[in-house]
Amino acid sequence: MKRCFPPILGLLCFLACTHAIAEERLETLKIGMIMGSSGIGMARLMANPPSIPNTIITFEKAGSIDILLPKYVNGDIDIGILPPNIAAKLYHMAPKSIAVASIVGNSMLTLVTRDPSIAALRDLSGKTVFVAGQGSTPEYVMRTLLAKNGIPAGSVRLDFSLPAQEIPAALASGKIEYALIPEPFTTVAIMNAPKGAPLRRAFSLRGLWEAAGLGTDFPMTLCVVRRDYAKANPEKVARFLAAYKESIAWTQAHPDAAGPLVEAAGLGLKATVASQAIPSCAFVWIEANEARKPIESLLAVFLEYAPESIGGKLPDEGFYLK
Amino acid sequence: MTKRNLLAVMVSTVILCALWEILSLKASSPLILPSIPDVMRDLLKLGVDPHFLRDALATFTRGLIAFGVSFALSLCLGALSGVFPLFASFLMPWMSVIKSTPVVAFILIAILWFGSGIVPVFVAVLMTLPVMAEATAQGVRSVDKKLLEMARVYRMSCPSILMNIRIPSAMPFILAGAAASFGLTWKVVIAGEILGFPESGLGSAMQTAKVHLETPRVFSLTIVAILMSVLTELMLRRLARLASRHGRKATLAQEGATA
Repeated sequence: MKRCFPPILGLLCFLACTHAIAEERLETLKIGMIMGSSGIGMARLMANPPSIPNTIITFEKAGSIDILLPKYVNGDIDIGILPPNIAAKLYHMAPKSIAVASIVGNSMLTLVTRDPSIAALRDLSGKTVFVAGQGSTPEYVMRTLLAKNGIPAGSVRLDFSLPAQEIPAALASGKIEYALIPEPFTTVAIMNAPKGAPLRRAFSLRGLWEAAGLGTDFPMTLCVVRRDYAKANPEKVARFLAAYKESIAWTQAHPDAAGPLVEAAGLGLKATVASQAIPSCAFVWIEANEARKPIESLLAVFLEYAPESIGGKLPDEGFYLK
Repeated sequence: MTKRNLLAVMVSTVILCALWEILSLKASSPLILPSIPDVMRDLLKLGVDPHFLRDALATFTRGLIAFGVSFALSLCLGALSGVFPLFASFLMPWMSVIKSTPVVAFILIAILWFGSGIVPVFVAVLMTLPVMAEATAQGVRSVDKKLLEMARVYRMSCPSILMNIRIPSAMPFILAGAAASFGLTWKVVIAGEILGFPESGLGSAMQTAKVHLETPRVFSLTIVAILMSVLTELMLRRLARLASRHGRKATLAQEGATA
């Protein structure tokens, strides 16, 4: 009897200890984003994460949304950055899983070419435009704008055969003449164009969107929060969002200093590219209560061309974080 | 197929379906892994989708063209390298480069050379050529040497040797190679469509479904692709069996005539 006493005591001590540790254990706040320009605004925050009591913040970057999707569905991402159509689809497919906290990026789609005769959408008649973003915002906004400007569907050929990453090189080398691309590809293409044949931004879709009376701008990047997480941890979410907002403002004010942080953040962007792209990236901070109108005006475009891509209908008011 | 074999096939099919159902329940969202009813429902929707017929037809045409071109080319190359060992050695480095290059690398390069509609065909031809050419060469080599010698002794004309001895004896090999590469053709054509994104094609439809997070649609399109591949391969295999029976008959007749 005496001999088995110490082990039992030891076991009790051990249990007591683990229990105490469990009570003090830190919680993680899991942030998810897709590599590329949409995460640039987060880079400073990743370098200096806000201190939230009892919380470790982890950042996950993935090459494509497919990798993050299961995590959104299973609640393994608490706060993330998503394009509006994906956010709406997710909201409908995994009912009420997420809510939009803010718009963090507006339109950054530009037509890049070295052809001096291109100044407006109409000038593209008869041309082939390579578009990065088949089945998403670039394609459907472009189609909408062509229709609004009375340009028949067949007269501007949209080609989706080149992956976005290859378009800058193809433009710079003259293999293709016209491309509709987002940042940072626009910047990369212009940076890499030969001296004798510079590329330029012929026009941006933002201006055309406004001219067509669809709104002042359209969102391309949203910050979303897992609804259950926001309900359980309103304080933490508020703190994080405040830090994110500040990080975006700082990034816009200091593109040169932000570049190296973006490279270090592992978003797949070189510092020089990031610094040059930041002024064209249209980072904003539009709170959820003001975000509904611009988001719905963009999603209406999806509803017309591919309703299934956003889940068949506009998301209800639960989509916007209160 | 014997009764026992049939039973084994059925049991394994049931296990496959059960596994799928269980995993889809675990995934808990059709976004990640749709259930069988989800996919079946989508297949029905696909049936009435006007775009679907166009997509399937486009892919089917591409597959047929690719197969035809590859078949003709590999008949020539295979026959030549079967008859002349020197030519086989000459061809070897080309074929090994083609065989060991990843499909995707060819597709990415080819997109810059050709339009997006031709890329799937070009790459499919490239991928199936070594398989079929090799099978043809093997078939040509497998000809009964004694039979050839005898033909020479009896001064049979060259075309007659080709028609009566060489082709019949090589046919089973050629058709087996053709059946194997037909299956490969669909896979490569669809991969090429996914990356090259032509106006219409099953691969383009798959890519769109993926971007739209329509996972059930990706699955149902995959099922269509599987059916396409299985059915055409089955047809060719049947043809191969017929031809080999016919070939044997021809050889027997030949032997009878010469005896």
